[in-house]
Amino acid sequence: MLDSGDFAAGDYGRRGLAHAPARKGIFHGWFILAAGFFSLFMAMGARGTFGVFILPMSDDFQWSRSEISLAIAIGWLLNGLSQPFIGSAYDRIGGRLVISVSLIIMGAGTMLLSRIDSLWQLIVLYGFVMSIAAGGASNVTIHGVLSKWFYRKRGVVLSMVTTGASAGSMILAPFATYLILLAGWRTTWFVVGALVILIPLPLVLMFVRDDPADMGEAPDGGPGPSDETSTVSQKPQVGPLETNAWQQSFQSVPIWQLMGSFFVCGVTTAIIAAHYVPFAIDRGASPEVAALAFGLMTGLNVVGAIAVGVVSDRFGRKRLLASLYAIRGLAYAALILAPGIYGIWAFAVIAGFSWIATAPLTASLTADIYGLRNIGTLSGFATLSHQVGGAFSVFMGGVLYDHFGSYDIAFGISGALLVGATIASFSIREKKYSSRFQPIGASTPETAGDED
Amino acid sequence: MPLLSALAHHGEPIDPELMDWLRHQIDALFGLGPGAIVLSLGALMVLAPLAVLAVYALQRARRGRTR
Repeated sequence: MLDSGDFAAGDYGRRGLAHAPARKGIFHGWFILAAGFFSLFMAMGARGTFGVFILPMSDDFQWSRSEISLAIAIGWLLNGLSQPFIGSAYDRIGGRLVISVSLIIMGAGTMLLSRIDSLWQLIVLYGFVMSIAAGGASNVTIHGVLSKWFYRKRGVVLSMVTTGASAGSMILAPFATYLILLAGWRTTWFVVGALVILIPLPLVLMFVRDDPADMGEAPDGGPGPSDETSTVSQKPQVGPLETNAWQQSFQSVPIWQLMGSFFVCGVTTAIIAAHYVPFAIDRGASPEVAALAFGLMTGLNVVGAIAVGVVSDRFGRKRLLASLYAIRGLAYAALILAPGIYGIWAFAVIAGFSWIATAPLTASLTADIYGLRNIGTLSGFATLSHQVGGAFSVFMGGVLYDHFGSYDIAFGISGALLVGATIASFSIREKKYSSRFQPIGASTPETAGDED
Repeated sequence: MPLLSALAHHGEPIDPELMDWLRHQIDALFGLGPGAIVLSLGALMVLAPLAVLAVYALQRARRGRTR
């Protein structure tokens, strides 16, 4: 375990800022939130729209679904594998540069998709270029930047920015669908690629700064370090596990609890993303009903994410995270046990609230416990575990369905894993390790709270 | 491998058949042509960030005047 003499400064004390006088005008962190939202909106939205290009591109090139799926699978895998490296780059050179370069590469790669003539070009551009670049304009980097700008509101802010990815898919997918009808898939790829650069990049370049002190500000809009009116303590508040070297974090327990539960998050969301509609049709639902149920779940996940963010800033995060996994486990139980399409609807309603809310909570807890110096790298590893879990579960779902002719066993395994994720999250000793619970001026394990 | 998902979790590609069905629902609901929908959604995507930039510019101008 880490010793208490190896601290890295980073956070400001929660209680110290609670009485900070308000600044005039809009706090700059909110503009960074907007830049992050539109970056996720376009980066994740552009990747999400790939599905609407599949049919027209297949028609033109006579590609099979499995050939196109190869590009998707490679993209999924490389996006996950690249996250720790991109997170490390973020920790070293800052979010503004990493996000900007990623958006430019991703936009250029997307525009080049308008020129392809063979499958290998699709695999290179979508599977490699776009998927790796998307990692630089992802939750890993954007949560990292925002964690430095928000301390008391960290949970709700990370939740709000995360909804940008959902909103991007919801808007860009129909936009691309109709543009393909009007102008064909080549023009549509070019337009989507141009939008990936033109919409978020000016916001990122203008707004994103890695350290509030660069703007004479402090987290949450408190008085900046140079503010002569400041009367609050600016002593950084650190938790006992904050460290200069990210490798040391892996000698402590919470990172494994967070990564393990996020692995289960990947398992339980990806298997549904891949197999929910076929499962619903097997259960007697029409494709339309299955689509409607999934759409309901998507709407609820935005509501759930923001609500959870608000609550987590007031009452702590680990119990909420554990509750989300428990709720998702109940949804799986309903999916398997409820008869006919009742299970489909019950799952959509119950699971919808937990669907994306786990991501900002996991990022917030990681930042609270390990500080901000290595937040990119650690979030990158957490995301890698999520993506590995997702790839594993999609494969497992297909294999078990082929063998047993039913999804019940695959979904049962996923539900059982959620019990483990619930226990792992609930057993995180948040009050002992989170900087939010450290007494001001005392941040060693001996002085921190120990009554989780 | 299934061609993944409906309105996604962390950026998974949307299911093509599902999107086709959604398109028909949008057509039935709004009765607009493709051009009108592309323009509406495009305007939404462009104007929202422009509004953020305008607010920022206004705030900077106001702060500049008070200095």
